[in-house]
Amino acid sequence: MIDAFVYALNFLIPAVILRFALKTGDKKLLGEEYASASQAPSEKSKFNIFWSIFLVLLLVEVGATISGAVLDWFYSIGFDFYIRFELKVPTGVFGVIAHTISVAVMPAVFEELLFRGCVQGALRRYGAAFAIFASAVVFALMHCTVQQFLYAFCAGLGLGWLTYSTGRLWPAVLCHFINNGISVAYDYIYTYAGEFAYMISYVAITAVILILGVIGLIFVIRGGGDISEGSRQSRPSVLLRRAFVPGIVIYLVLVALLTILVVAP
Amino acid sequence: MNQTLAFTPTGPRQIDARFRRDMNIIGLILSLLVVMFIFNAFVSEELKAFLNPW
Repeated sequence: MIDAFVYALNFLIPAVILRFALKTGDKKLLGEEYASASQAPSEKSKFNIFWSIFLVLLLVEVGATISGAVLDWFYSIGFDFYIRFELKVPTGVFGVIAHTISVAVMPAVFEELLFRGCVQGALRRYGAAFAIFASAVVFALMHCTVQQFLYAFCAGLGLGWLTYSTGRLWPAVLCHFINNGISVAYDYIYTYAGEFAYMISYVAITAVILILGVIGLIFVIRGGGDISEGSRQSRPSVLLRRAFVPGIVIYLVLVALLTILVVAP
Repeated sequence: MNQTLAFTPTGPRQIDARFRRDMNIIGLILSLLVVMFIFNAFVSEELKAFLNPW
């Protein structure tokens, strides 16, 4: 439980500093109004938000599959990026609640607040496409493992789009929570019900996400979704080339250092 | 004139400076996050062991 609070503080402190340092958090997300109506993202009905969440969960599943294929390919040519850890599932009601809070609830709330709320909100003025892409990259790098990079990048793109297209932070928080919650559920099923039950539940949950995600895709295509706002004036490719400022370089160096430390025996 | 960044009346040079400043702040603050990760993962364990040698 203490770990969960330390985890929350790790994200909350940078989020608060970033909010006050830049003073450009996504004002709508932080309960303030946009300076002009043209800056506001399109509002969606709750019905569309529901389907968009499943579409993003589908995107995360696709990202996980692609990530797994890439990692397997690296493994086949001699690069092993997999991190093997002992699966430890707590016992007792309090242990289960604490584990769920620290693994599913805390990351969902605080990572979304920092990356989608603050970073993406601050970068919105340079165009929605750049803001979503850049926040997804720094979000993926934050995981500090090669194993999770591609997967987290796909998730970051989806969650960024969800936050942008709905104009709200809570759908991304809920989506992140469902995704992490499913992982926690898999851990429990594998530990207490065995490998066969895990396989059955994996197929069932993936099928549900696939079906609901495809329905979500149909609704989103029909409803329209545009992230080209702002990009006519500021091309994302130009901004990306200019983004390698000293602060970002320091971040990249520290991420590389921690990635090596995690892999090192 | 650099058209790619000229999207407000303040002009491209000011926008470029602001963009660099914003990216610097984001980079440094996320660096702080990674430093806290490193501290939690490695240093604090050492510290705990040092404070509680028993």
